[in-house]
Amino acid sequence: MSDAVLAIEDLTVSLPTESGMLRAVRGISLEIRRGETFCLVGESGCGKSVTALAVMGLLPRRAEQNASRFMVAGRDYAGLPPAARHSLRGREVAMIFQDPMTSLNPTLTIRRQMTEGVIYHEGLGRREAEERALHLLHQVGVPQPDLRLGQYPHQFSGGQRQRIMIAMALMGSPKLLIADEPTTALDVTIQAQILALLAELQEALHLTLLLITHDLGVVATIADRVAVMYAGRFVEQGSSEAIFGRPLHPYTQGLMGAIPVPGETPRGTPLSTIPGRVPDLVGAVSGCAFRNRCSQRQEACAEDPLPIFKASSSHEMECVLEPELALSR
Amino acid sequence: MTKPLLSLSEVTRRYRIRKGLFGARRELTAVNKLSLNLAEGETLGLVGESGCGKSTAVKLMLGLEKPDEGEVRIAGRSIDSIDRRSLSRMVQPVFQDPYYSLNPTRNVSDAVLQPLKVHRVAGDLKAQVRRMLDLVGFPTRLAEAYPAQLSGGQRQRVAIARALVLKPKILICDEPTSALDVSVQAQVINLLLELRRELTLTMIFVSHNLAVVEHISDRVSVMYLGQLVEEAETDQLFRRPAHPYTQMLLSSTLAPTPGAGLPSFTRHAAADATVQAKGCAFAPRCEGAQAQCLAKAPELERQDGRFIRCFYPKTAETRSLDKAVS
Repeated sequence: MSDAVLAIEDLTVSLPTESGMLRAVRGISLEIRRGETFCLVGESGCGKSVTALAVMGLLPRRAEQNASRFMVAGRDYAGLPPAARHSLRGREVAMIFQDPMTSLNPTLTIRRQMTEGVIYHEGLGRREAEERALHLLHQVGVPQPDLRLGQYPHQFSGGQRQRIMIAMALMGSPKLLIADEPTTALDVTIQAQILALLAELQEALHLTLLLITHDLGVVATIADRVAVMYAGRFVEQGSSEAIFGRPLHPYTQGLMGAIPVPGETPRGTPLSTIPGRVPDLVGAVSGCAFRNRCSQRQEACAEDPLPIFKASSSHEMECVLEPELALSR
Repeated sequence: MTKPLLSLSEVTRRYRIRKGLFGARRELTAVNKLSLNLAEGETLGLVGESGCGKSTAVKLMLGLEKPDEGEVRIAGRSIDSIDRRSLSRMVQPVFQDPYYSLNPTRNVSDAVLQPLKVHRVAGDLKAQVRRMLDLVGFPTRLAEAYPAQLSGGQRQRVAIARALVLKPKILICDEPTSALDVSVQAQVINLLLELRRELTLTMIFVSHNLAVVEHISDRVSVMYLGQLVEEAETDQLFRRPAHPYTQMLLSSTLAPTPGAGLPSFTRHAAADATVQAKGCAFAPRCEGAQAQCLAKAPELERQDGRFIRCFYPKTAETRSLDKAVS
């Protein structure tokens, strides 16, 4: 598996809360190959951002994290403390967040914010660091980068700020870029521009992208592979074509049915919904976490471990439903 | 058209802003000669990017802001001549974030009861609150719960119940589902559709989610930098958008179908509301802009059943021609 940029097996993350340990991620495995765009999709609280923070080694100190395998950049970090991954940040893995306004420091110039990381990490001189920043700002499409470098975040529009965040994340030439809802705070026209930029950079720099989003339109547009996350587990995983062309898991089907599709959903008719709400993940969770909201619930749904149904070598789901039944839908 | 229930005629609202702490004062025209007419029972979708004036338009309709020019009328009466109390029985809002729009120290039934108390409504108020919560599908066993104990969807149901408890005729929804997850968004939309039918509500539906707007609206107005640039029946607008900005918006919307690819743009700039252009406000971003577009501002005109503000609207014919050429 030499071409895997990130390979994780059986990752669990628990976060302390007032009422007990919250099992935010409950045993997920993934492998992201070089140059690929992998999307984590799911609703709030499903554990997608916690997964990203675990990869970055940015979980809160009191969080408990375990994995049987945690390969980043050719080295297995399983069993090592998160601090062992300090040197990976920036150089191997970098991350951009949803809201570029809150992730930039309003009191520092763009120059200072872009260069301080590489000056510290790589021991670059100020001049060299600045040249790299200029080059990257130009590459992400910020006009007049030499002028803009001396400005402060409030002098930029939302789309420009996200471009700066991306340039900043690329300062250490990371192999893996994690983007957590990078376009959610932006207008649709700007969203399309930022996604196009990410795709362009990926091509030019051979970047691997881990994109986290709740927006199925974004997923369909840029993902190569998709994992659908629910209550801390991957309920379905596969190529973008497979997931959208033939969603198997009742939760994936529910998500897709809940958005009106122009030209298909008759106007003003009720949309299909997923009844109930996400289960409480504090304490023990057994069997399928979706079963109480599922219309095809069976007795076997409460039993661990759940069977994995493989529709093809690149498409699988965790569900007791029989293949024929799944196919007929 | 029958007499409109809600109408804005040539409404303008300007703000004076400073760029930076010591920057020069400038005038920003948030809403620029906006005219809208809404018949009883109709739902009008209002779309556009952030900063296009949607929220200012909403504030004007709710009487929370006074227009600098023009007039807002409800049921034929100028909104200025209607006192606060009566106005709030005619128009009610539902806002984006049910986390901020509910008082965290008040439980659900108190939140819904309060408007009835303020308006000194007679009768069994508790029963009215219960009926309202029932109507919005809020579980009665949670009536004593506080907002912090509720999910986003439940909070939005409470916000809708509170808005409707005084039986207003007009409901103004400002991004009512934007803060919600996909599956919950569907529940809230279904609820609004149901309430609209049962209570014959007239609705303004503001959203940046075009698929949702298309699903719920009878007519759609597109705003750009404070101006109305296109307004048409929902089908016409989405199937045959004529204004280049409407087309840009529609093509930027990503459908959940893989392989559709990203739209290509040659002009990247975003809208800037503080720049006063002499010509068409959209011209700096428009791919089809001509000399005339930069020199003179187009007026809003009526053209085969739609309103449009453009010198060179792309009709169905010119669009198919484009394709043939490329």
